[in-house]
Amino acid sequence: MQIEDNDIKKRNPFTVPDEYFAKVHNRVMSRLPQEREKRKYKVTSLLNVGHWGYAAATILMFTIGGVLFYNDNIQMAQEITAADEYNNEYIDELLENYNIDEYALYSYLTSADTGY
Amino acid sequence: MTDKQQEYNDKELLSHLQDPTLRIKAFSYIVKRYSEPLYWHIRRMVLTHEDSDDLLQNTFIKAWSNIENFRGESQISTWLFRIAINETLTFLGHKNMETVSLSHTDGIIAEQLESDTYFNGDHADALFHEAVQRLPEKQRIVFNMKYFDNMKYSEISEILGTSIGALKASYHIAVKKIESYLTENN
Repeated sequence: MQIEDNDIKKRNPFTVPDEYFAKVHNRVMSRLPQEREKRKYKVTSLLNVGHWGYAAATILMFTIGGVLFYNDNIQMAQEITAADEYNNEYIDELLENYNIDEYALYSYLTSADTGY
Repeated sequence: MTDKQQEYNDKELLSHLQDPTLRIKAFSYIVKRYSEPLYWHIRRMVLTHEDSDDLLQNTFIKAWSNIENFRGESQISTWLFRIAINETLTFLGHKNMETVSLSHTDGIIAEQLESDTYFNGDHADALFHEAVQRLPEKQRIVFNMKYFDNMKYSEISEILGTSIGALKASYHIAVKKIESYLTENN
């Protein structure tokens, strides 16, 4: 069956209610101001901040990250220093109380490290 | 707008749309001018008047909501058809999820059409529109624009963003499928 020269092409079997196109024009036009108002008072999402917002958030994130990283390093350095000081005090106390000379202690620690 | 203003071309209409004091009148003219072509295009895609009516109104509301972004890079009719097609495809996407099993039976769409108050065709018309309805959505859009709306391939290409070669192939395949369906079901 060939459809290119078919009469169906020229027929429109679909119909619409009386005066539909005049009525739909009025209905659409009466809805427009309301749609405008809806847009005017539309709540803007906090996530809808555009490129500048994303750029600012990225800079803020790196700044906070940098500060935290720097603070952590300082804190860690302070803890290491404190631990060293504590160890030195403890060793001094041992040397004093147990009458061990520094050479003997050094020899002991060296043999302990190497497993002998 | 008055009848005299109906002679305004797209350029003049665009300048009126960009002027807040003239915008509503220009848009009223657009609704009057494009209601029928847009309605018939939508109607051939969704078949029922009620759905077509909703989609037509939504098309104009969406166009109005985005009117400030329309810069006239394309013709007003192209822009409106794109909106109407997007609205229709979204609607059909939701509807197909609900009625996918029902439409598989041959003849059921023709039967529904013949019982529709706003359809006054005979069984051959109903069967023809069922055959069109069974095409994949994008092929159906191309077929309807070419066969019923008598659009040029260049116009369809601008609306759908598809090459003319691909449109010609799509239309040719659509015609063959419809002819085959009608031969089998007559």
